Amino acid sequence: MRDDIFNLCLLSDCAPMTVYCATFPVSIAAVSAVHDFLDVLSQERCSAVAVHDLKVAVEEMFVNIVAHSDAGGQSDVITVTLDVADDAVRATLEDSAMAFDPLTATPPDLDSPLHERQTGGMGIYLARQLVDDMSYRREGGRNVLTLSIKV
Amino acid sequence: MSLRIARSLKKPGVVVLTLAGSLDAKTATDLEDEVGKLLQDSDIIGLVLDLELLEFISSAGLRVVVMAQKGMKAAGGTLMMINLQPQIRKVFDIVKALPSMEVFSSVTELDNYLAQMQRCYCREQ
Repeated sequence: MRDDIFNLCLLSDCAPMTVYCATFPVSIAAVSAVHDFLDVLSQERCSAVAVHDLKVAVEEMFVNIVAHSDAGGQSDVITVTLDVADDAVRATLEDSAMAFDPLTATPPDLDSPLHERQTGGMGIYLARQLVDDMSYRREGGRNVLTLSIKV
Repeated sequence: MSLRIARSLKKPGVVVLTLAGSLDAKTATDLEDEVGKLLQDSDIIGLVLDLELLEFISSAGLRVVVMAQKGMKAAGGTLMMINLQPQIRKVFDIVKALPSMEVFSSVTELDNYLAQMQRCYCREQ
C-alpha cells in the first residue's frame, strides 16, 4: 500500500456519473501520486487529450495549494474528487488551509521575457487555458476548487 | 510517472539530454540538477533537449527548461529542443514560450543549425 495515497475509493458507479476520490498529503512529493490517480480516467471514455490536459491543470492547482499552505499550515490533506459524466469530467480539489482564491491571482505578462515571469501566475494561467471551466468557493472552512473539462 | 534522463555527446561541446516520462513539479529538480552539472563544464556550447519520449510537462518543468536556456546563454551557448510531442508543444504555446526558444522539428534541421553554430563559434575563437 502506497503511503502517499491515503484513501482511494470508487464512490459510485451509478449511471450517468462515476465518482472517484482520493486524499493526498500537502506536499510536492505527492504530485506523482496525483498523476497516477488521474490515470483512472483512461479507463473511462475520456480522450487522451482531455486526460492529459486535466492532469496538467490539476497539478498546477495542487502545487498552488501546497505553496499557499506552507504559510497557513492547517491543512493536512488535499482531497481530489473526480466526477465523470458522459460529456465532461469535473475535478474538485479541497483543502482546509486559509481562504485562498487562485482565480484572483495576477495573470502573467506573456509578453515579458520568460525568465522574468512570476512562477505561480503562469501555472494558474496554464490550468485555466486547458480546462473549460474553473470555479472557487469557500465552504465550511474549506477551499473548494472545481475544474471541468469536456471529454 | 518518473523522469528518465539520458546524456550523450552529439559532437564536441554539444550535449544531448534525452528526456523520457514526466517533467512535473516532483521530477523537475532532477533535470535542474543535471543541467547544473553540465553548466559547470566551460566547454559546453550547445545543449539539446530531445523530448521525443517526454509525455508530460507542467509549468514546473517549463521553468527548468527556461532556466536552462538562461544558463546556457550566460555561458555563451545555446539551448535547443527537438521532437516535441503535440501535448508538450501545446503547453509551450499556451504560455507563449516557443518564440524565444530554438525548436527543431527534425534531426536534419538541428544538424544544419549546429554546423552553422560551430562555424560561428570557431570564428570567434
